[in-house]
Amino acid sequence: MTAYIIRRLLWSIPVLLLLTFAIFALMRAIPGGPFDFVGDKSLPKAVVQNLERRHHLDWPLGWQFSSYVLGDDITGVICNGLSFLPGCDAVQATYQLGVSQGLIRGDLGMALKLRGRTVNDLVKESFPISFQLGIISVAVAVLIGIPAGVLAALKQNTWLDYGSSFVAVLGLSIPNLVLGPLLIWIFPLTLGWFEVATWGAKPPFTLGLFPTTMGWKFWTHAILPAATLGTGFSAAIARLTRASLLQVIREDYIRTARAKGLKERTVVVVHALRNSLIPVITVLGPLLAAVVTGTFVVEQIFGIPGMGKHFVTSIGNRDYPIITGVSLIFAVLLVLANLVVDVVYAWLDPRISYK
Amino acid sequence: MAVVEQASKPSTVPQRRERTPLGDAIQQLLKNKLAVGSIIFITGLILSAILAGFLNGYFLQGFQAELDRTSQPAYAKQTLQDNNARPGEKSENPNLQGFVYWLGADNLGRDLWSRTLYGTRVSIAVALVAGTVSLIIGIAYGLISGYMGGRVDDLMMRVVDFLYGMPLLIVVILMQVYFKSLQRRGDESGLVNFILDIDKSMGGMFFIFVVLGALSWLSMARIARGQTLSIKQKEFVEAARATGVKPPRIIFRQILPNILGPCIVQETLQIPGYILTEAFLSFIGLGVNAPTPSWGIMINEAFQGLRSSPHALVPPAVALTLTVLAFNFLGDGLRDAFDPRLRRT
Repeated sequence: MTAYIIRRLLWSIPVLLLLTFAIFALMRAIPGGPFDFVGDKSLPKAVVQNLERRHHLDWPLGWQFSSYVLGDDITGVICNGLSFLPGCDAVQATYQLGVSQGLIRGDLGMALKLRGRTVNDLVKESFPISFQLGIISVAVAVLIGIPAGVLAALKQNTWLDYGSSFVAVLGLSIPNLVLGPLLIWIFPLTLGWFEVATWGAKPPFTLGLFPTTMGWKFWTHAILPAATLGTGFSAAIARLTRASLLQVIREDYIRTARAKGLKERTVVVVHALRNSLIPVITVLGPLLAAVVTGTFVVEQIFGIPGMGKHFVTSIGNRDYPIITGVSLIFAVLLVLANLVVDVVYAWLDPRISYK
Repeated sequence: MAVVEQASKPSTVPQRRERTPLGDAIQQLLKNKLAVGSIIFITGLILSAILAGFLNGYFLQGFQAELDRTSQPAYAKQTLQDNNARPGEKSENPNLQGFVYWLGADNLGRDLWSRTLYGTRVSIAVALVAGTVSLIIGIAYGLISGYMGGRVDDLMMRVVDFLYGMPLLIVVILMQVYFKSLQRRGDESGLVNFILDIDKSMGGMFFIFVVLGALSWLSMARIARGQTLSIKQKEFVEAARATGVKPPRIIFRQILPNILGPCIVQETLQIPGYILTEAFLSFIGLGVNAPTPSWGIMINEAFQGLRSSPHALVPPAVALTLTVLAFNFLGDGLRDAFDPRLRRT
């Protein structure tokens, strides 16, 4: 199992590098640069050139990427050794500026527009916020979804079943884009409950991820976005749990368990639920991906200063390092999420083993 | 044998209607009230997308002449006196005397009924085009991968797995930014310019089709491959191969018709995703070009003015939710009807 996990992680490195390069190149292909201010604020040409030199934007694309991944010093060493390579003169001229330590040393580069800030700083501030939002939403989804699904399955074809199924379809179909503004209209604007915009926890974070205090103030900020994001997921989980539990409960081994006189609760919780959760786990992969995407949408709607918000702002600014860095982190998250799901899957279902 | 038996006693046994799998499935689908309702609703949406020119508020209330005079389409007609008009309010513009804003007006005094109506065009177009593109690419990819098997299959599925692990929304956003800024610069020549013109004439929809279609075929490819693998094992395919039928013919005549059903069902379930992605892109200003109304843009505009005129949120929000709901019900219904294994649960 450990070997499997390590191999999966090693495999993901070239994949992530490829994605990073694609985004790196795509960003730079987009017309308009980070230092094109329009109108009165436009900078003199010499200043722009200097700024671009400062951030290695005058280098050929390949060398820029090398600096981003390997760092300025290593790129300089390569160029000094192999100076016949095209574009090496530009590299040799400015590699001592020390713009980037390189991804290999965990440096995501300098922000272009926000002077003096590094992407690492931004990520350190904003990632925990997105993370908290995502985790709370998943918790909401699981804590509501699974009990609702179990209940609907055990009371199959009663009003409880129909009612919860109907609510689930509704919850599945109401888009975040609708639910978010709707909740904002109902609660903060009309009733004056809860808060909109910003987030209830500020850096520094405990362990770099969690809020230091989770008092009422934190929840007034978190509850609406988490409800917006979690509703769809909990509906999906409830439907799946119901369908899968209904299938499992007809299996022979459940009848055996009942026949030997076990309490109904033991039968359901110990025998049926564990197996019926396997299909639920399989959708957790796509679901976690959807959470990552969802934080994007929800952060826009609720004005939460998470990574998605930074990403969209940086696109307008053409702040290349922020965009590349945020994309890379999202991609790493997806890779890890899929891996975790596969591991949990194997743990729940002993028939599955990875070699 | 059977024919002879039937012929010998024709009058005693009541004639049974012949049953085909397709007929069965359609009958099953028609029994599902929600699915039928969804079909009716979606048909209505398609009709209103086509007939938006005749169903908008101005035409129906006899103000087409006023639109022609100011040469503004119904979805972009601004009447600044009437900004944030409540539902049912009359216009205060002397040229529009007696015009009623059925669903109110937005902050620029644009009729929300007309804008929501024209908004169906974008959503329905995205649903149909992105759905078709993803269906075609996905099935072709999955068919080839599944039929070839071996190394080719491995390689092709690796590519899909690779793309599957990517944050596609980010790629979608970046591609959309790229196309948008190409358009803003607008000094391209030749083919690029031609494509930009197409996009402009479609109000910015073309690139959304491209982006969504290009990135949404992944799960379709997986399903098509899985189906192909199972059909490939069946005796009738083996028989065809044994009698010397060429692979292309086997693929198109034996396998494709058999995998098409599940693939279409799956595609229907994916359509809400396309509609929502378009709405989100429009919401953050990377979707269709203003003033083309998209529900996403309308929600964004209403959201900006939520404090002063919350009623502007209602029409696009309801339209978007109902549309997604309808496609979900239809997809569920199709799946239940075409996949009898799932029918019981």
